[in-house]
Amino acid sequence: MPKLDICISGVGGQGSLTASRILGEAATRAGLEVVVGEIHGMAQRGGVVESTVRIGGARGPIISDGRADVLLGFEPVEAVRALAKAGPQTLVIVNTRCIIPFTVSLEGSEYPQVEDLLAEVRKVTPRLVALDAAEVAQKAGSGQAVNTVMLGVLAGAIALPFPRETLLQVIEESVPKKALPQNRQAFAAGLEIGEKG
Amino acid sequence: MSERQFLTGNQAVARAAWEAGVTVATSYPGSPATQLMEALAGHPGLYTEWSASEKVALEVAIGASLAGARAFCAMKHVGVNIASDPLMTFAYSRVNGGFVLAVGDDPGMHSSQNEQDSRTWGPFGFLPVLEPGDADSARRLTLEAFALSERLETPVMLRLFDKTCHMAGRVEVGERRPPASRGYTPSQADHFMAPPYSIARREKLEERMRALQAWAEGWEENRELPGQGRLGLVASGHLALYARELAPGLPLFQLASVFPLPLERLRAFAARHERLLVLEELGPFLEDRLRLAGIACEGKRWFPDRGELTPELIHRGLVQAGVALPPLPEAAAVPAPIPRSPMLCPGCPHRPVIRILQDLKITCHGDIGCYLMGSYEPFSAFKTSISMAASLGVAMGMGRAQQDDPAARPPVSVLGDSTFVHSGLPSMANAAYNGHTLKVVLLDNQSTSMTGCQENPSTGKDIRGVKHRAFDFLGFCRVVGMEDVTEVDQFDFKATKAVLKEKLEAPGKSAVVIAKRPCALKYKVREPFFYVDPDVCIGCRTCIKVSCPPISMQRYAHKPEGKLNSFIDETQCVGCSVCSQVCPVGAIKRSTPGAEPPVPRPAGHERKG
Repeated sequence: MPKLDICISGVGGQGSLTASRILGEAATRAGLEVVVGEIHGMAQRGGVVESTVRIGGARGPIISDGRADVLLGFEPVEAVRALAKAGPQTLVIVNTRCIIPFTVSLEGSEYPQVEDLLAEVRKVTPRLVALDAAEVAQKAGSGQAVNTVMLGVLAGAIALPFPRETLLQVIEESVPKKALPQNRQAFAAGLEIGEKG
Repeated sequence: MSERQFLTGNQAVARAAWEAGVTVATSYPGSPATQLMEALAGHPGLYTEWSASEKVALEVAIGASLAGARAFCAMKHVGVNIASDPLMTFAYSRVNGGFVLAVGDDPGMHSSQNEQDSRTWGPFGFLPVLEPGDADSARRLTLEAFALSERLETPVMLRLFDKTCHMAGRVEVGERRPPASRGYTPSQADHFMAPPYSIARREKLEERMRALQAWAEGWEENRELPGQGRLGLVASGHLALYARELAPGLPLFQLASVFPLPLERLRAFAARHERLLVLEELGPFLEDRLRLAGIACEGKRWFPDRGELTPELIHRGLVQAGVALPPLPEAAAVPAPIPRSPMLCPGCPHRPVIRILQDLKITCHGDIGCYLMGSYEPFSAFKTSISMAASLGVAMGMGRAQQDDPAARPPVSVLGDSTFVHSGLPSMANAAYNGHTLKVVLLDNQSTSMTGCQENPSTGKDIRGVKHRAFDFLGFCRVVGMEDVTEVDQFDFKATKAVLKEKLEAPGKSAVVIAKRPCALKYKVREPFFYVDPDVCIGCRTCIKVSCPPISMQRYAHKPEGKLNSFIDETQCVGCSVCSQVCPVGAIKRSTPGAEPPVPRPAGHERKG
């Protein structure tokens, strides 16, 4: 079975851990071997959160440097922080909406320009999809649906080893009933962005 | 019937405990093992509890096991330190109902104050220690642990890691074994652990260790995976997975029982290879045990003995040890990104207290809980932190050491509700009994928040949300002899500051101040948000220094170039008002529900559409 290593990075509270568990659940339902790993010391309190989804073959939860097939960056600085996992073959998907650490405001230093951060990604790999997932989610009717948008982009940009319908079904089971239409729309909007590349 | 589920290691162990017919399960929350009991509490037909401490949790589970029921207990590695008192002696006794203690180790200290290698409890306490590698083996090993516990009448430790607790994967699950009590027949010889009985039991331990040794030799989960070459690898748990992934061609002895080891099989494995290489996180433990048994091996010479072992570190060690491996890809050279530290939540009731303590410039001793973030930038309020409720003893000792120093003010202990009940109660009695001058700030947010907002005695609700009796902090402090006990509402910043200044600075007099606001995260506190009027704001950053996630410095289009003013992200603000109370110019105001604040928004934050 082909292997697929996905690294997901973000800020606590964005739903990146939920995204990795959704991918793991979808892969399991499709009968695939999957391992999901998480680092979340103080995830609920605005710290850095990194997780991995490794499909195919029984393996450890850490992806070696340079070996990720996909890097899903939920925040531009966090995408760059996890860039060690990426190589020339890696598809990097970046949510360009910034979450400014309080140290930046406190010290009066500057948050980097998003363009400069994306340029760092391009130095490693030409395969970059950048989008304001927060805006896409808001247009779909729910600012909370950033992770659904990101999963949609992923499903549109690469051939996942399980049906998109399975992924959408697991997403639907993970969100409150009243947010279903917004999440369906957010997933569709993400798919479209991912397919365009 | 077997079925596949996608579970974390914690969920898989919980599932197995349920399948094994456990009827009493106890824990004190602590990462990485917190979700273990949360998952187990979601299963039907058993009693689960958040105990007041790991020691109490272990003792409750011991009682259930003595009565003949299968019992399960879970905690993080440092929890075993205080639970080790009953554990070390319980291990002498003759176990009745199957007893499994799951322990979560945290190499790399992702969410812990130290690193400990829980395998050392094995030889120290005559305890078998089992170590799974992934979620599926976590379930299998837990089931075996219960069977082993009853067969050889021993407590069994299941050692987990941060990685194995949080790692999720496909798990084959089974049905629940109908709980069947083995019944209780009083037997002092087996269960009254004092001489002469304990002396007799100590002798019996030799027999049990021999039986465990024989079991380890024959257990099929200790397995040899074939390969090529003159070098053989020995690894357990998730490290065996890494080893197989990085060097699939090497012969590997994959261990599931890390104490006792299947020494004869390992000796035979070693004899068939020129060199034996041990791969283990923390330690050296396996390496030392092998050497003690006269089996030559290498290990820590090539791999670090602290922190987590990453694939990169393992690869480097293997290559340095002479294993021919294809090189790993180089990590991309990326400039270090700006740091991002965890911080207190919007509306956190600890924030104003920490800010006031910092302002008062009193030496404060911190403790274990969310408020420990008060030791990091921008607060630096707490100068020490050791272990659960240690701030109380530390404050007493420091006060005594400095009692003849006229310049010294009494040190202050700052701790939360759950930590106070966990280990602070004897300290309070000690303070009164020995006449210490003790100043305590008790942050009663009615939640064990650091680990994800569990219930505890201060909430009065059990793990399933059933209301019993809430702990009366004020009453307790008075009963043990603290005469000066005051409750404050810390969201009244000025009044709280006045109380803390008076109570904490008064020489020679003990005082307890209880800050009563509930956890904003657990209780989802949300009042109308606050906003900044950029035309009143002078850009002094006083509000930034309360370190609240929604507040940042922003550029406003109508203000001069290079000038930054404060801004509050209304989607995050929960309306606690602390920033508005510290603002020296009154630029921060509460919004009216349904009405847009009548102020300009910063560049990049304009309202769209």
